[in-house]
Amino acid sequence: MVKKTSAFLKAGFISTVFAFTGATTQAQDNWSYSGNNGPQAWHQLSPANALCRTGQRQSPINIEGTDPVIMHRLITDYKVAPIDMKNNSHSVSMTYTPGSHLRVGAKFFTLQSLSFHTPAEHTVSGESFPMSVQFKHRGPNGDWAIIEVLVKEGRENIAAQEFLNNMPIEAGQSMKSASTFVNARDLMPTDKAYYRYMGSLTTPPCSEGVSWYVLKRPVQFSKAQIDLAKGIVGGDSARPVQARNNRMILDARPQ
Amino acid sequence: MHVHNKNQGPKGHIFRAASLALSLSLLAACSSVDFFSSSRPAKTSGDTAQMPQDVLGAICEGHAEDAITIMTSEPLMSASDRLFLAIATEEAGHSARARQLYARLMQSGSIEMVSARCGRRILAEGTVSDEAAKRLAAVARDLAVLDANLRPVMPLHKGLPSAAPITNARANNSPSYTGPALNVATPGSQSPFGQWFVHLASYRTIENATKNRSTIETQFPALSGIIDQWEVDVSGLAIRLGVRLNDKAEADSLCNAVKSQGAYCAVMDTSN
Repeated sequence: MVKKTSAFLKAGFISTVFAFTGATTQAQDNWSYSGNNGPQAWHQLSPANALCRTGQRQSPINIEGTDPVIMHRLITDYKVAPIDMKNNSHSVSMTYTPGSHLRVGAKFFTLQSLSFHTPAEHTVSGESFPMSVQFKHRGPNGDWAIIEVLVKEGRENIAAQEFLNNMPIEAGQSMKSASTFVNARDLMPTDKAYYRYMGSLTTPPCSEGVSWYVLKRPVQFSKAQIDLAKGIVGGDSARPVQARNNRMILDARPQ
Repeated sequence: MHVHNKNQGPKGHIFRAASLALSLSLLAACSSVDFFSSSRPAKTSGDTAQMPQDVLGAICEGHAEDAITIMTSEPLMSASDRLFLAIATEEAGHSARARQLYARLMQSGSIEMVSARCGRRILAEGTVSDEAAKRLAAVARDLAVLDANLRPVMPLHKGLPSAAPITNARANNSPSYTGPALNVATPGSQSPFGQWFVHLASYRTIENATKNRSTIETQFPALSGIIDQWEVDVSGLAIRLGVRLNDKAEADSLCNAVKSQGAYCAVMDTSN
């Protein structure tokens, strides 16, 4: 574990949006989080982005009015993986080596990538968090499952600091090393109690049918770390909160 | 009143949240009393209770939280009113709460006719009990999609075997049944909500119950596809496998047929 953590610390910071693949999730490189190509205009950038405007089950949302329900636990089986990051101008993405999995009841997903958002995309009872980490998984049928870990300001996160120190800070820059390893689990809280609802990708093309798991317990980053992460992508990297539209939001209670 | 979430300011959110919280509190309070004893009818057309127009309008326009507020602004006396409230609750995204209301309505056995439609979309059309049962099944499916564990596995008491059946169901001790198929008639009054449970075997875990369901179906081909499960606390969780029937006499007859061929069987009242 010490060795793994040490290797993890040699890695770089991982951030924002993913390189989507698949028929319903074609990447759109010309979007941004502000300005003329910002969230209000995503649907105009490509016909494939229509759901960004017309979708009724969009993400992120404000988590409130939840119903308590006994739910399956999130069982994360994440492996150490070599670092593979790229700064794609509006974000930095990290592709995760296949072999790390998430189980929820009978459902099975493979971890695809990680991202950081400043501020956090979901809010809880109107409360906004300065940052979040999203763990993006895909099921055998191509369905997406995303875990969002909220970040609050507090003590320094040692693992994240090493990421920040090695992050590809320039657009187009990559950071890939077969000898530098990370483990996604180091950025998750031990307590994985969560809120659950059905939503969408938070970037174009805003595809729906995404299983969202927003963890209740935040992890801590220092103010300097949060500011540094925000500075690397040049500002906010979060889509505004979308309408709930009477969707179920469950407050997962342990079995 | 019908303000879309997206256009609400902070005060609107607070008001709405407070209003909804109050409504749901009233709902919770109402659900703790016996509201099935009264017979005050909802607005009726002939013998069918229609959902009040303002409630229907709110639901059909996507403002089901407003429908909850309307429905809980006065005491709900009739079963149809309770069903309409449950529908509004579900439509507002509170399926878990609606589930409890539907369960009680289904068990009430109310034969009051109700009708509610949003254009071509049927919200309810039939007896209160039947509509509650349909909605309950749909809610269960929705919750399962969202990873709800509606049948949690309970921790076992120390010393209890995890795999062995509780009963002496002779042919069910083995996960694969190789004996001859036993001849029983497919019961006509079978229903997922039947009161009478023809008990064939029990297991300590969902996994074992699931695994052995096919064994029972092999043993009793006439019961294939209608084997139900019933979780009870018998010094710990027990999952009973059997068939639910509406008719007690038919349950007795089926059970006698099973026992006459040497297999275990008992008729149980699920309402106890």
